[in-house]
Amino acid sequence: MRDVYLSNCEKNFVNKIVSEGHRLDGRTYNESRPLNISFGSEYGSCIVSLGETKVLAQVSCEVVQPKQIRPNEGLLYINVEMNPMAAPHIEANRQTDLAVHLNRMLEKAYKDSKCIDLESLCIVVEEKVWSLRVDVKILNHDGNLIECASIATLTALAHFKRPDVTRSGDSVTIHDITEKDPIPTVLFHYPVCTTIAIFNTDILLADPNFLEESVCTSSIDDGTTPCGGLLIIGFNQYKEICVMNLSGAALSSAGIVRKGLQGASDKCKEVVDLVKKAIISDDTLRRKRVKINFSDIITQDHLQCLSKKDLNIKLKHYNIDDEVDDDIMDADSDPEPSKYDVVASKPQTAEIQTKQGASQWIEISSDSEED
Amino acid sequence: MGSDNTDLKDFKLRPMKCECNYLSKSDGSAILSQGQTVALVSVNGPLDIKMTNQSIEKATLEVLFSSKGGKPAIGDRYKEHVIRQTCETAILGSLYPRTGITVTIQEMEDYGGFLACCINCTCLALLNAGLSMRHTFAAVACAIDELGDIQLDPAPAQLAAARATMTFVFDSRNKTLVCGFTEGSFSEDAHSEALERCRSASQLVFDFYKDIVSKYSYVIG
Repeated sequence: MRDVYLSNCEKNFVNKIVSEGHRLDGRTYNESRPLNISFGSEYGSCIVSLGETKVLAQVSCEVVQPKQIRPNEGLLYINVEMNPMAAPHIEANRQTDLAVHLNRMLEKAYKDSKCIDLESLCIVVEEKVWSLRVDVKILNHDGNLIECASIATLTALAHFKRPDVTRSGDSVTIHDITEKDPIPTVLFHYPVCTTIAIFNTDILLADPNFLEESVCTSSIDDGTTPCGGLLIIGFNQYKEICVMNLSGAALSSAGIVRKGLQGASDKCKEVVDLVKKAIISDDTLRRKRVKINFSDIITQDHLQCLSKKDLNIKLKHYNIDDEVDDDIMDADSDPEPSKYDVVASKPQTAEIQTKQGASQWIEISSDSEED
Repeated sequence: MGSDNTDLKDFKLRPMKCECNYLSKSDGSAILSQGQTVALVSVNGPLDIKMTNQSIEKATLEVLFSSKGGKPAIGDRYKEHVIRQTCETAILGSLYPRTGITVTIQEMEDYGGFLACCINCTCLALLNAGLSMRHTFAAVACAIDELGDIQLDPAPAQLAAARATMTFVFDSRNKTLVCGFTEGSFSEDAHSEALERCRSASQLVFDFYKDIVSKYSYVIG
């Protein structure tokens, strides 16, 4: 993994605005980025996007021999893969620490918490069991990978259906999906992980993006040890803790964890409800024989800015009707001549228009050169 | 879309859909669907690489293929090799000496003609990344069934009944063959006929590229 450099400028700026109560993308401390779940054509494949962070998960199954010590239990493998697609600084064909960490976190959340009924995956005791394999591919790394990856894993597992099996005497027949309805996986509970970034020992940010994550785990430039860190908490829908992990600085007080847990438990419950709703709506669509495919996520109607001369910008706190304060008008009564005009167009939208006429050239006097 | 073109209505390809800049962290990325087949490609580069991998003459191209699930297989390495060689002829690597270009391909859905979809998507991602290229390239797949009929851009059902499958890649300038790969048994005449039909159909793909690129940039010619 190549080094990612973080400039002092960025670091100080992010630290400053966070302590003033703002975030770079205009969210509040407890606000998450929009979550979106889309399904592929097969059972157990989904893409989850959390803001710009995108993760693809695919569940596959095969019949294997069970482990000697657990002859009546199926197996569950989780495999996280990160390649240069996720971020340019990640090298190919090499396990990064981050991927290993993610893999371990997901194993804790889904394997060690015993959320899957592994006994139901047994076909013949000591001979044949189903082995479920979850492949998690990081498509775009923009912070809070663990939350996005855990939602993807949970959705894929809950969405997955394995082929039906019939036993007659010693022989076992595996039915194709087309001839017999497949069986869904049994989940006892639905764990979801979430990240909380700790800034300046006492500020908690939910769903940090890439920059916020790297700022809070890096040391502040006056040489002191980092006073922030990343707290990963996993909850299921009954608000029971499944995972907890802290990276970065040591905690200064137990109160921070308690504060973090309160916010996280409600958030995880909401996410689980959303996952369940998405799976149900996908199931009803499939019953109606609607073809669901990853090609549905391709949007063609959005405008790409460079093809247009005028640029529309959506402003959250701007309205055409808002009266501009007189004080501000006085302050820049004689503004610098600009190539662009900001014009109000639709509600909450301003438009930057290029001015008509020839562009202005800065005249450089040649006197100085002659001296 | 290009498939509306009246002159080429005999050459039906499945409808194509594409979105550029799907990934925010990559220099260029594209997600392309041809019918139900979907591929996602990200391009990073030119970027700094290890001294041992640097070439003083041209950029080092690295192609990675990642399947949707399961362990990496030999077939994946074969696809990487084919796509790397195709890209190497197209990219003007001599403009970026001592650097590396990484192309990462992610399988999303495979419903026939997957290799062609990967190659087309790679071309769109390279265009989106703004790398200088000698020419663009387009791949067209076809299948020859038991009766010897040629089916362009085959669906899974047609592939299952096919005696041979072929994929050809053409360049945008003279429509010369960049590379071709075949599977199964076929006669020499069938091969040359399939080649010609794919060559004509590749125009649809080039028209589609122009449609997509003109959405975010000015298109020359």
